[in-house]
Amino acid sequence: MSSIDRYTRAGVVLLVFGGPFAAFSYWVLGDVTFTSVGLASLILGATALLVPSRAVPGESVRALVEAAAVNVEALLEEFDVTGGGVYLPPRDGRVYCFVPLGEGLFEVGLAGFNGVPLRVVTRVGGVDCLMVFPPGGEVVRLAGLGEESGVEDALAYVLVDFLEMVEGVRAVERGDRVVVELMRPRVDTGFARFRMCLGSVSASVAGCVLAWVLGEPVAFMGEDVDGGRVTASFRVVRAGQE
Amino acid sequence: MAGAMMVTLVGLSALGEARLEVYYSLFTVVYFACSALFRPRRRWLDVPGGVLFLGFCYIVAVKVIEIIG
Repeated sequence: MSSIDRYTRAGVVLLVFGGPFAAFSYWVLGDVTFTSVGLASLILGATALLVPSRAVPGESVRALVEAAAVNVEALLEEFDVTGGGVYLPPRDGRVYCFVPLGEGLFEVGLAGFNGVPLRVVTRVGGVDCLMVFPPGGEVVRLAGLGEESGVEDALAYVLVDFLEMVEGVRAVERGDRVVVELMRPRVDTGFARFRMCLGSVSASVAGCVLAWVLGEPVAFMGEDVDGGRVTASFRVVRAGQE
Repeated sequence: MAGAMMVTLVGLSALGEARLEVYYSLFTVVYFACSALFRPRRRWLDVPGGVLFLGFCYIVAVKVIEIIG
């Protein structure tokens, strides 16, 4: 049994009414006002046909995101990981996240990550770490983001336009630090390890976007939640930094 | 957008406007203003916007030709 969403129904009704009514009013009645009513109906009907009924990611999408986060949470819990993860620029078109086992941070830069085998537990620059697939990794690939995009434009496109996960986003770059401000996130999970290591879901997607756009490893430093605003801090990991 | 179009239509009708191109032009302005303000998601290309813009260009071209000619 097929169901037509409400916007499609409204669009069809308005188009079916507006077209003949506008034509009848113009050529038979010769009345401009009624013709305009038909014209407005046509415009509204065509617009309604183009608008999807659910602008906000529905429960099914949220469930998929949470399901992806459950697996990551289980892995982080199993290895008792507490450190902030490092989002890597795409390999094979996907963003991966390496989370250090223990307290060490990566100081190796991108060159140190190149050629590292994609195994669940691997060693990078002398640091044992866990490799996870953040939910945002696939999202960035599906969004078709260009690597030449600006940071804030890319974040806004993925988080606001593509996913509609937040209502607004701002980013400030200062040296090797990037602070991302996420306004009123609509999706989140209650998984403590996930939040500690990768950030909230929105922050994690932001980390994936940053790695994709900047083309360098990006470490999650932490986030603050203040009412409806989440401020996530990231650091671009370059070789030789302290 | 529906509300804005209704206000436009009622207002122009109350003023006794009898030129269809005036209604069309203002509907075009309302459409693009609402699209810019609310930025609705779309399933496909902005076909209504494209058609409205082409029609608006045609009206402008006709007016320009009237003025020149």
